[in-house]
Amino acid sequence: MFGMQRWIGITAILAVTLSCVEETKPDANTGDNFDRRAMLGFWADEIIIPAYQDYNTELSQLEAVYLDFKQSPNAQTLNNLRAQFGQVYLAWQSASLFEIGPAETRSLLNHSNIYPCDTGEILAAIQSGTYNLTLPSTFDSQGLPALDFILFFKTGGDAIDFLKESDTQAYVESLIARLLLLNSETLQAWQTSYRNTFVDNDGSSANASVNKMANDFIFHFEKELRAGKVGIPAGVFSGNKLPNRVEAYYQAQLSKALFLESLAAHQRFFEGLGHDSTTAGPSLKAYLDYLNIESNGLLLSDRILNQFEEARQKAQILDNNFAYAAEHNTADLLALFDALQQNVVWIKVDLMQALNIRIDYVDADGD
Amino acid sequence: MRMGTSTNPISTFLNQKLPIAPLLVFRIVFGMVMFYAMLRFFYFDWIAKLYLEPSFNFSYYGFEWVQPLGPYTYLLFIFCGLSALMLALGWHYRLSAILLFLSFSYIELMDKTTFLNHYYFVSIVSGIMIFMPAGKAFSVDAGWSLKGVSQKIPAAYFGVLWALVSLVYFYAGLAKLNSDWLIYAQPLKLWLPGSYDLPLLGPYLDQDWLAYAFSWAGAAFDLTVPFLLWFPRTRGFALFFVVVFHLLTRLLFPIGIFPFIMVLGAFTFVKAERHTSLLQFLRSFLPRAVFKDEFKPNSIRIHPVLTKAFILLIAFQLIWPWRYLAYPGELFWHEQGFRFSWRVMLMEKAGYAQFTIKDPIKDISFKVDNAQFLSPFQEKQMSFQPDFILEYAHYLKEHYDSVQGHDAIEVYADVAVALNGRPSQPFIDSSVNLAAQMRGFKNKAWILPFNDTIYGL
Repeated sequence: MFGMQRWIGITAILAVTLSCVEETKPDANTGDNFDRRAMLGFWADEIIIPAYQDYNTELSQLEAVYLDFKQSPNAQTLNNLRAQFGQVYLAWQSASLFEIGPAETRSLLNHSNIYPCDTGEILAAIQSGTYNLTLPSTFDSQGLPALDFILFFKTGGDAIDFLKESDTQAYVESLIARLLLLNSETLQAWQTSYRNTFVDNDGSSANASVNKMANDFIFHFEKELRAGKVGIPAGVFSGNKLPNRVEAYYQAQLSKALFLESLAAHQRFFEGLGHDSTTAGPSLKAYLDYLNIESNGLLLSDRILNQFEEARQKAQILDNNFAYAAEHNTADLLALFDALQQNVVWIKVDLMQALNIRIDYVDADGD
Repeated sequence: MRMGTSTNPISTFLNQKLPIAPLLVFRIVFGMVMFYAMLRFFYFDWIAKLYLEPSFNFSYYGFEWVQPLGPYTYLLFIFCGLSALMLALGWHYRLSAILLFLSFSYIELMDKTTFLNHYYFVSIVSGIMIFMPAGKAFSVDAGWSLKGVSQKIPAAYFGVLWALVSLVYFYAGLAKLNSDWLIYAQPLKLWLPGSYDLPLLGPYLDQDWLAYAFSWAGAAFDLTVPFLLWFPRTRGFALFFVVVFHLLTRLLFPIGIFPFIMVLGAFTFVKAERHTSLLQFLRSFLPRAVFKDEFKPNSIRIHPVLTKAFILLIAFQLIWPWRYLAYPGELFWHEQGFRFSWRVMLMEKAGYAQFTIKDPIKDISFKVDNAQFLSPFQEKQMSFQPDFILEYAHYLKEHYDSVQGHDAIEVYADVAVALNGRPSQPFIDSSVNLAAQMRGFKNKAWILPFNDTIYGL
């Protein structure tokens, strides 16, 4: 009988252990030689939170400059308003990368920068005065692209007249207020509880912070930087160039600056530079180098950095106005796309494999 | 062919009769595990994610007619789970085995993105179960009689199970006899550090020596455990390692029900008395009302045709994994003959595939956003498997032919693939119009050669 009980005991323990393992896998870091926790802390404190702060400051400033314009609408105040809007759009490029946690729950990116915007819907909303900016169907009639349209689609005195109308002003105020609300909520969440949630989630599961952040990073690089800012206007996905699909189309001379700013933000994140571009810290690059990952005689991290530089040079020769470049220098814009594409491969395939980060979002079984 | 007085160990074995008890335990636990497997599909919402959300499913060649059934797909999984439960209970045993085999195999054939060796194993086993006498005792059908538990059945019924289990281990072991696994400890060197947060073991997982130790021990385990299981003197030892091995792999990798299935398979080797006492113990939980003890012992035989079919099945399993030798180049790279060959947890492969659509009539070309057609999981699996790439290219051709209103669309692909930590390299010939390439088992000449050598099997 002892034999049988032991038999059943072993079976039971085995069954319980096997079935519990997966669901209760601990996410606490018990010590890895590469300190992922320090990397997460650096990302949070030196990159992510400062980026949101910076963007928030620019948005508040936009609100102030807008009030100046509202009080005395003239060419000077309009210029100030437009210039400050450019600063906001530039600051957004760094804040855009981190669609995780509070930004993810608020769909910050979808509410802030879906372009091209739906100009018909925007004008209709202004005219009717009835709109609900919390609906996903209004993603393309709000945010920075909607402001870009409203502030720039008319020129000279026409623009001032349009922006003086109370209907327009009501809409502009809603747009600015909404951008500010979503971002300050996101920032506040990071500054209070989410920072520690993010850093404490330093395990290796698919939902742990390093995995999620790396996935968000490559997703943003591929979809926003490579496709959105360059590929789509160059006609990569349509077969014919689409100049009107560039970011900030209504003041398209800003589009290259936005691209370069975004490229720099991706690079800083990869190589471990703070939002201030000077503070250095642990990064995906450092992680690769710690594992001594080489790629055909070079460090993989150097290959990726060189490719960032390659893309920057390909962008430098382009016109400041990407809509113009798409129209007249399509081949050069396509060359920029190819330079970015190569880095997608190195990051998404080589880097992810080396760091053992899973890129599928469905957590299915393997064998 | 003189079989009569043969000293051939196979026929000696087949002429034996063995107690049925281990088969009964196997039936019960196998049914329960499969029921649990179906629950997992619901719990993780895989039915929607894997089968309903994608607009397109990757089919096995020749099984394009097996498609998800829309909202009825949920019914299919319920059906499969219930037949697994029926099997466990031995209620309409034969019917339940047929239903389990058909529904589970249908599920597996709906999309090859989810191919897993152990699901293939489950399909084979549930197919075999149709012909097993596993419902003849200790079941609803047989009234939970204990008399039935002590009867003996022809050894062939166990032989086929044991041979299958042994074969899975042994072939998984053979597949590890290559330079990546043994000399470079890949892919374990890539995989192990990812579990650095495990208690106790975690801090050592990024040590090279551990990756080597696990690689060599894993290969040695797979190759020897079938033999250690067959011989009574080493069996206890083997079972201990089976449990430790599967527990470890379960801790380190997301492998679902695989450990349950293999541990269960190994336990069919355990001597019948243990299984009998387990059944007695289980019986003590059953309400008296279900007992029907007027059991009429009815000698269980095996039809010679069934014995031959079992032998053929095992022979097929022995030969089929070697079909890769018919293809030139590195198996891990081109993967022709990779699946259905018990190559389990063997390599780390990832890729990135960018498709270009060319319309020669309108003289335009453009690239495809894969997310428009594929789930992230499908895109990941497609990006490094040639047959997926081809099937997807054909799907794209069909799609864009109808969009453009003619049938001249050409499809090209730039694919970069990294294998076992090597730098990514071009995977297929980007000048080949994939739309014009045939699917099938012929060598895919448009796969570029692997620019390295992996020695061994």
